[in-house]
Amino acid sequence: MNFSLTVKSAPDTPAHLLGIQVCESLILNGHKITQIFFYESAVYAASSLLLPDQDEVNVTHRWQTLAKKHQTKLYVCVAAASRRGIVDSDEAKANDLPHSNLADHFEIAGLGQWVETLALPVDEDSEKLLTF
Amino acid sequence: MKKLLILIQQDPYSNLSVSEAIDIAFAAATFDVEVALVFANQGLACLYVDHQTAGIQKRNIEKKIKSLPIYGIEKIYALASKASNSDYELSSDAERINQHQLKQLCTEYDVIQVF
Repeated sequence: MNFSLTVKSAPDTPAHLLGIQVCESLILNGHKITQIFFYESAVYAASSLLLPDQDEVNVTHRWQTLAKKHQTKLYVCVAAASRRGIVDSDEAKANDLPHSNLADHFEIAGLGQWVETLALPVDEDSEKLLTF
Repeated sequence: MKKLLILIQQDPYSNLSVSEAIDIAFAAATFDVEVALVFANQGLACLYVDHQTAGIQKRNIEKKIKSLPIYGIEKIYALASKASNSDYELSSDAERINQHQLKQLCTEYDVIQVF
């Protein structure tokens, strides 16, 4: 079965880590995670500048591994991200910011992406939505 | 038409959650999704009348909620008994519902998002 995720919890919360663990477990059991949409404080996971202590989970790396190994799309809400200081190079240039910090394998997307393809897909039988 | 139920349980000004919940509602409505909002617990504060936000320097959520009908979102519910909010007046745009009615609503919508 195909699954999509909405992740809203911040990277330092148990819910966020549970989202990663559920994804990894679903894949191990033969399911596919097609796309993940990061919203609210979950967008901090898309920062290339997160630097957790060595004995803590680096959630950014865990999501990137999913994307690299299993072709899972990682979408980050543009409005939620930019208001929290997560910007890609286009957004940084457009707003005359000195740097961009969107981590590799994450893509900026609008809420329309969430509505059309994750929350309420046309082919709903093949897609289940989980929220963390 | 697909149906999205958004349950808002947080107060309007301690973080961005309510504002971003309503952004989801706006986006879904523009994609021809039927949207309903339920305000409960701390979220009922969103429906208080005449927010004064100058002192806390926050954008007024009341204005955002009032613009929901412009996007065709008319189903706005308050999970509250008459006794529970006697000190504050709730917006007349919201229909009061009880737990049983919320349970019924949850069965009628394709997707439920909790904020």
